Amino acid sequence: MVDIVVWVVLGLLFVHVVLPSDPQKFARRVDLDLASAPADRVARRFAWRNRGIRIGGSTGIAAGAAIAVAVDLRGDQGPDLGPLLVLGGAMVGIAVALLHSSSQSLGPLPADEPRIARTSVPVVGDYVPAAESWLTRAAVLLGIVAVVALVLVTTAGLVDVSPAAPTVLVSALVALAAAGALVGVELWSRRLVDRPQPAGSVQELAWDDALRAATLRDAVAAPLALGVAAVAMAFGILADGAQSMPWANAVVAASGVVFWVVLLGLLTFGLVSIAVKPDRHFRRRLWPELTPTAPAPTDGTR
Amino acid sequence: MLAIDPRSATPPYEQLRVQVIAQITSGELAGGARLPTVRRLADDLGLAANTVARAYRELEADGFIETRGRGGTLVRAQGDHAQVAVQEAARAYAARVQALGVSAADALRYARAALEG
Repeated sequence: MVDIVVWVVLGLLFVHVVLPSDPQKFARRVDLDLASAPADRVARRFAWRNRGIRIGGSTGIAAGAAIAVAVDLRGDQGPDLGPLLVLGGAMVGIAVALLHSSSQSLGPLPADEPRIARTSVPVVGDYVPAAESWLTRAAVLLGIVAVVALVLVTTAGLVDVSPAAPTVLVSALVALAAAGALVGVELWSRRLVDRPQPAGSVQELAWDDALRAATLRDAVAAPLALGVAAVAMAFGILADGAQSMPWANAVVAASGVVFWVVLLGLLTFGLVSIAVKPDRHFRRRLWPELTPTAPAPTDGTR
Repeated sequence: MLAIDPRSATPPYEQLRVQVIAQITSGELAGGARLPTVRRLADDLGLAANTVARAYRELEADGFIETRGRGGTLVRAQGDHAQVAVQEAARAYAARVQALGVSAADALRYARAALEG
């Protein structure tokens, strides 16, 4: 129980202090100029975004912690699922809140001001790097496969865990939630990208793209986190349940190998991802020639 | 990028039409490129859907774009169709010149003056 409290505190620090972004830092990350942007509209978008991260993240953490406590109170033996549930809950809560806040309208632009629009039709791939999308799908698939394997192994009695044990049920629910979150995020992403982007200047449209990209990439983190959590839970339960079996060493070793392969894969992906600056993916796709302080076009041609 | 200035004396549909043509003839919009839906562009630019629909209709009539139902609105192979449209206009001009009994030399002189003026 104390462990869960520690993870909840860490999670709350993460969503209240680390994740909320400062417009200036964000501008540097995406290489856009804040000074030439419509300050009030960008500030309002940031306020919504940060509020979504805080409220959604806190709610998700509370839900994850509640499930972890419920499993813990039953007194069943098994690995500690608290950290994974808190992490998964935070990511799902943030994704739901961000996708909801992204549907809020900033109100109409002044009717007598010039308006701009692009002639191309952006797609989700213009905002989210393909590698991130595929990694998320792979993680969810891996999570489902791992949980199915866990259910089969427990049903066959190869480990000392009942297939109806709360830990097994929770891991199955997490895998299902990962699949649901993946479908939901992909559908909602398309809807978000199809929404109008009223803008009075190139900078305003570029900022809208930047915030869209950030929202979509944050949302993708939810199914990714749940998929990884499902894999970790399944192998944790397997390793724990094999302790009293003759093949305990083999199962623990196999679980360890899978754990390190997944961890190293994620770390490698993270490093490569950071190296190619995914925050600027939308810039490369939609604004390859935009300089941070580009003036708005006056003749409508670019 | 398209820009619509509501304070301009040029009607919005004409601003839109001229800019799309400019992008097609300059090669910025290549043949086969998909244009936004009427509704999406109207929402983005703060125009009535009818205004965008009118611009699209005229662009389609001039052979710059084509509508393919669910396939959306696409830019037609640019250079060829612009050339075709100009040739059609030239043919219509020639027919009018002949009907009015104006000499070819004079008609060419008028056309050159119009193009250079």
